[in-house]
Parts: sequence; structure tokens; C-alpha cells
Amino acid sequence: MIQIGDLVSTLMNGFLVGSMYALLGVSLTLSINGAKMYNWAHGELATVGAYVIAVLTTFHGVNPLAAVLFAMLASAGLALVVDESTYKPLVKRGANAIQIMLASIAVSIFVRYAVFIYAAAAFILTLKANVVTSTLTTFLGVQISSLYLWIIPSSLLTVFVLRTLLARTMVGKQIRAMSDNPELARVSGIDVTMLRRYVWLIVGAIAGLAGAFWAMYSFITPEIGFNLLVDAFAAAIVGGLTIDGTVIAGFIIGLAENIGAYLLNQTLGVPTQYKVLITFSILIAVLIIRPSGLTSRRSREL
Amino acid sequence: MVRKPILEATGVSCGYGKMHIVNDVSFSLHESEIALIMGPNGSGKSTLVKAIVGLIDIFDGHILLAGNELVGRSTAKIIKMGISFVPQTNNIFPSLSVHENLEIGSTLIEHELRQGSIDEIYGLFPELKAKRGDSANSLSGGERQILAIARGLIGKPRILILDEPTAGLAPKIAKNVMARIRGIREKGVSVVLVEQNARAALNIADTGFVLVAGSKLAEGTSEELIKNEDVVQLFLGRLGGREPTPKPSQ
Amino acid sequence: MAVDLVIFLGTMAIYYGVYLILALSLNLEYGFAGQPDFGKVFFFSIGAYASGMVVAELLSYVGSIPGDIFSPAAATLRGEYAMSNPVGMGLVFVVAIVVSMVVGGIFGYLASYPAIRLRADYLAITLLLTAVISMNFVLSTPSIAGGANGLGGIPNPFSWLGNGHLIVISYAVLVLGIGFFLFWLLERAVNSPYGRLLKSIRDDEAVAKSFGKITPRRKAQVLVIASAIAALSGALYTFFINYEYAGSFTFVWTANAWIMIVLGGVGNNRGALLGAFILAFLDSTTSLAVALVNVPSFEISYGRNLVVAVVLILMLVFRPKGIIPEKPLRIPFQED
Repeated sequence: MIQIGDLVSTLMNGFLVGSMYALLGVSLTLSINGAKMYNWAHGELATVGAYVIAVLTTFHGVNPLAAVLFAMLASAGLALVVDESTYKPLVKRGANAIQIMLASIAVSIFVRYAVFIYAAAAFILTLKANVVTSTLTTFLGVQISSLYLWIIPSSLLTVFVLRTLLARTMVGKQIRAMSDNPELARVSGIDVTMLRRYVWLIVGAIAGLAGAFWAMYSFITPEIGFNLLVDAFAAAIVGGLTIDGTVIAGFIIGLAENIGAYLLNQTLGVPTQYKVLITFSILIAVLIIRPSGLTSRRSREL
Repeated sequence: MVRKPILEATGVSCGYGKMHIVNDVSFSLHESEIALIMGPNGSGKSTLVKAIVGLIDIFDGHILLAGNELVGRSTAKIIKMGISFVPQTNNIFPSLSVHENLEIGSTLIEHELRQGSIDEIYGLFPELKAKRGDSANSLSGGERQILAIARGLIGKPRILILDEPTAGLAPKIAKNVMARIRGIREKGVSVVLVEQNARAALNIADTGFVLVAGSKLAEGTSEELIKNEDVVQLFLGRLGGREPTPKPSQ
Repeated sequence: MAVDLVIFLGTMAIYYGVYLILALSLNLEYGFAGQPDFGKVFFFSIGAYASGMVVAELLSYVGSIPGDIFSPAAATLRGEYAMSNPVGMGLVFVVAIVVSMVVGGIFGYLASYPAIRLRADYLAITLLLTAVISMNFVLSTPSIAGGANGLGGIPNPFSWLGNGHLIVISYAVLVLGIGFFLFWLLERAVNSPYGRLLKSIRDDEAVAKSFGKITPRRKAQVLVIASAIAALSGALYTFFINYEYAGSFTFVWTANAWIMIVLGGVGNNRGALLGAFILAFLDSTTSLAVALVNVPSFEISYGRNLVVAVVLILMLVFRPKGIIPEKPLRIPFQED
């Protein structure tokens, strides 16, 4: 039985989740283009952000805004440390793409289980950020929490800031140049070493933000980031590895997942836990039919 | 008129890993001079010029830029010292606009002077100005080469290295590009030109040498090279001023 | 609490066999055919699910076990049946193993469609995400392999022996026998013309194509065989721990497979022998530690995973070619 009220709340949820997918996907896209690698530990950047905000707000009564900032800082720092200690040395040694991917798998396992050990020791294997939300208004019989007002606009704002950085500042243009052609960037006099560091800091910060938002939205476990990788990769690839494309794809996936799951449930009785299969199917379909995604990098500037 | 040497390479051997591509090559480039490096495919021309800017390992020899040693320095340092390199392929940033490509080229220029340098380049290459907002990807082959050269030129380098700038271009466009390269010399920039299109290149070059299988085969001024029998045989053949000897029917 | 040496060594031997077979599977896929499989655990888990389901279904029929196959009562009854019916259980075991390999091969065949069409990095993404998704899928679907509760009561085919020591030793001999046989088989295949062809695919796809062999077909064949072998490993593992639970088939298993072949040098089956040993040793000492030390078992398994991750990183940075160098191909009639 499809009810308007339920459909609306599913739609809203899809937007909310989509905005977080957009953030996670955009940071993944940036890391793929800027560092020329697939980072399987990307999800862990979000996990760390999620745990930082959850622990700070729940156990130390830290103000949510400050906690979000700390989360972003922690993830940014982690991203930088990982690159400097593992990825960069491998690239320097001439490791091939598979070896670097393998290293990122190892990093992913390391961080994830380090968080597991911490969470188990502190008895917080499932947790949520202690963020006070209030019901803003009621629309078509659906309560709209203030969470929507925080997360969705903030995500859009973050993407906007990123876009502006990439389009208008010299650093942003250098990052885009480096993404296009790393050797030519070097030859143009760009300090690619320093630039790579900036890229990882930005990637980590945005991924951490996505994780922090998720902790505000739902319960988290140490696997939360890894589980979100499906959606992040789907957003990035369906979006054609561009900033704009990934954001749009993130929202599409969030909506498709939620509305699809709801409709399938109501009409065919398909359990809603299968929603991630929808995302996966979209990804496979795109990879086989149109691997360049929504927007091809060649034709877009961002 | 005696020109001062600005780049002096002595006994340079370079290559990848353990493979020596270039063996014991020496040459010099003088101020406001266009020097041509000719040779068949795979002779090591690209390898040699990439080694000058530090992209390829140099095993032996010295390269002096106005007396300063380049061997062993990082690419970043070499660029800062005033050498600019335009690769043969992948020599622009496709997703950036024409203007942004030039902005990247002006990375090492002080902030306040940047726009001025870019305007100068627009003066030299008005067709780029006309398309300044377009994505570099949308340019034609010839326009891309012009953009690639312009990007290399913006930083007002002392030496500009061009690796086969007319490769794959239609003859008329190639001629245009060559003419622009000649114009660069007028601006006081010394040019190292790597070219397969030997005849057209010899028309604008002052000196040059031939690289075959990593070693120098012949060298001299461009007039000397045009008259050199070996060079003519190897490279100028049909492109030379003479009629080709009719081949037996194939 | 004294350490039961027989159980300890026997456990290690069984882990060794299971890991060796898994490593051989990945080595075949990536080391020889050049297909990076970051979703190895998927095919491994197929073997586990298939063998579990086959045992449960068959035994409920053959052993007249009533009721829900996923119930603890049924599990107990299955165990009892195995203890008093050596032949029956033995046959069920063989059927389960065969079915597991066939199902594994089928999924390998299905996977070969995207494997051929996608470029290497997209293939890696697809396989990896497939493994993640499949774990979540099975966890949410009770009718497949017990869903979130798993399926217990998958008895060891040697349980009729009664004596714990005898069971472990017998099963260890079986698993090791299968493992070494597979090793021998694959080593011979490597030195065959087919094997050399595969190596050429690994080293240069353009070269291989120019010899007129159809690379995509060969790749699919390799994928089918390697998947069947991975499923075999999963099935043998399941009969050892006597249950299967979807949640245990995490990314770590894929990493296990990779670290084994990295330790030994990619494409080098002899290296897999060493890699499997290192992991088996690590895992059995971990189980021992759990029994001896008063730390919760999951904490120790987290720690073990950390260690594996660090070792993998160190290997990649310092010894990417592995500890054991690859033996040059024996090519007949050729002088060096």
C-alpha cells in the first residue's frame, strides 16, 4: 500500500542520504583524480569522522559544531598521514596500480580494526552522535527534523565551496591541472608534492564531514565507512569522476535507493535491507553500458 | 657575431633504469639560437631533451646552463633556473580553459606580473586570445600545439625545449607553427627543437645535429647540414629541394 | 590449562591446507592470468554456503531429520547422524564438496562477463563490491545459509571416529592431501604450454593477442577454475569449523589470500606454500592465545587483523617481489 505520507518521508530521507553520499563521493572523486589511485581506505576516513563526533558529543559534551570541526580535522590528518607513510613511498618506488590498491586495502583493514579495538574496549560498539534535534515543521503529515536543515544545506555549501576553490583559486586550478596531467604540471613548475598534501587534506576533511553527518543521522559501527563505500564508488563512477557529476549521482543514488526500496517493498514485498542492491545494480549497469558515467571528464571542466 | 653559449652538454648518457638510450652526446646551444636535433624514431631525441629537464636519469656527463650544473637537480629546480619544456604529446591541460592553461604556465611568475605576461602571450598568439574561455580540449590540433608552446613560453624562459611540435599536423598548419617558433627567437629565447620534419625545421634553425641510435652522427650549421650528403639521404629525400630518384616499379 | 599439542598442530595443519588452496586459487587468477581479484572472499563464501546447505538438506532427507534445517535441534541431530553413519556422512561430504566447486565455478563463469568487458581497475571495484554486497545480502536473507544466524551443525566427515585427536588428524591429512595434490597439479599446468600462455597473458596482453589466442575466453576459463578452487577452500573450511555464518566472510579473507601470494611472490606457487604457513601459524597461535589469555576472542581477532594489515603494507613497501623469488619457467629444448 503506497501511502503519500510514507512516500514523502522516503523522498526526504533519500535527499538527506543523497547529500551525504554526494559528500563522500565527491571526496572520493577528488582523491581518484588528484592522487591517481583508488583508495579503499576512503570509507575509514568517514568512520573516523563519525566516531570523533559521536564520542565527543556523547561523552564529553562538546558542542556539535565544534565536534564536526574536530571530526573533519581528524580525518584530514589521517588522510595525510596515510598518504605520507604508505601511498607516496609506494608511488615513488614505482609500484603498480594493483600494489597500491592492495596497500589501501591493508590500510583499510588496519584503521577499521583499530577502531574496532577502541570501540570494543570502550564498550561503544554501536553509537550515535548526541546531537539535539527538534522537529521543525510538519509537511503532508510528515515530521521534518532540524537534521535536514543542518545536513542538506551544509553538504551543498561544502560542494559549492569546493567547486569555487577548484574553479577560481590558483591552488584549485593547479589541482585540476595535476589531475589532468601530472607530469606536465611538474614541468610547469607546480610543486606537486605540496599540492598532493593539500588534496589529501581536503579529501579527508570532506569525507570526515560525511561521516560526522552520518553519525548524527544514524547509529554507527566501525564498519560504517566501509559499508558506505558502495554508495561512494557508485556516486563517483556514475558521476563520471567529475565533481558536478558525482554530486548529482550521489543524490540520484540516495533517492533511487530509498524510493526504490520503499516501492519494491510495498508492491512486491521485497525487504528494505536489499536497498543497497539497487545501488550496486546501477553501478554495474553504468560500468557495462556507459563506463564514462553521467558526464565524461573530457567535456567537463570540473 | 659570436654568440655566448647558454647551454652546454658534454658526454651525456641517459636512459631508463639500466637501459642506456643516449650515449656520450655533446652539444651546445647559444643565445638567441635555434638548435635542431634530428633523427629517426627511437634514436633518443625525446629521451635526451627530457633528461635536460630532469625527467630522465642521467648516468654520465654534464649539462651546464650558463655555467650552472643541471645534472642531479630536480625538475622543479631546473624549471626555476629558466628552462621550459613542451612535450610531444599530452602537452596541454585538456579540461582547463585556454586562459587557465596559460595561468598554470605562469605559476612561477610573481602574482602581480602574471596578467601582464599572459597579455604579452595573447599579443603573440591572437588566436589564443580569441578562444581564451574555451576548454583546451575543444581546440584543433594546430591550435593545441600553439597553446602548448605558449604555455611553455609564458614564464619567459631562457631556453625553450620543443619536442616535435609539428608532429601529426597538416603541412600548412605545421608551417604556421614553424613560423611562430622563428618568432620566438626574435624575443630572445633560445630554442632546442626536436623535429622529424627535418626540412622545414632546417629552414628556421641556426645549427643542429643528427642523433642516430643514441649517438651523434653529424652536426653543423643548418646550411652545412642541408648540404651534408648523409643527412640528405637519411632525412631530406623527398622533402628536400631535389627531385626524388624514380624508384623501380613496386 | 595445558595445551593439547595434537589439537594445536592438527588445527594449524588444517588452516594451512585451507589457506594454501585459497592462495593457489588467487595465484592462478592473478599471478598467471593477470586478473586482480579483490573479491576473493565472495567465491570462498560460495563454497561455504553451498556445502552448508547441501549437508543440511541432504541430511534432513537421508537422516530423516525433521523440522527447520536452521534450528539448533536439527544441528544437533545432524551431528549425531554423522557420528553413527560414516559411509552416509562420507558420501554427503563428497557430494557437498563437488556441489560447492560446481557452484563456485558457475559464479566464476557469471563473473567472467563483467571481467572481460571491464578494464582492470573497474573489475577490481566490481569484484570487491560484489563481495561486500553479497555478505550483506546473505545476512538479510534467512533462507540462504541461515541469514543473520548462520547455519550450524555441519559435521566433520570424520566425526564417527569419536576421538577428538583422531578426527583432527584425519581431517588434516585429508585437507593437506587435497592441498598438495592441487599444488602439484597447478605446478605441472604452469609448465605446460597452456601455463606458458597464461604467463604471457600476464606479462603482455598485446603479445598474447598477436599469437592468435583468444584472450577473453582463456581469461573466463581461468576465472571458472580459480573460483571453483576458492569454493573448495571455503567448503573444506566449513567442515572444519562446523558452521557457516555470512558475517564472517569479510574483506579480511580477501586480504588473507593476497598477503599469502605477496609474501611468496606473485605467480609463484612455491611462495604460496610459505605464505599459507605464515598465516596458518598466526591463526592457530591466535586461537591458542584466546584459550590461554583472558581477553575476549574478538579483541584478539581484531589484533590479528591489524598484524596482517601491517605485514602486508611492509611487504609491499620493502619486498614487493616476495620473500621467495620466482623460479624461472622450465622450457624444454631451450638453452639459457
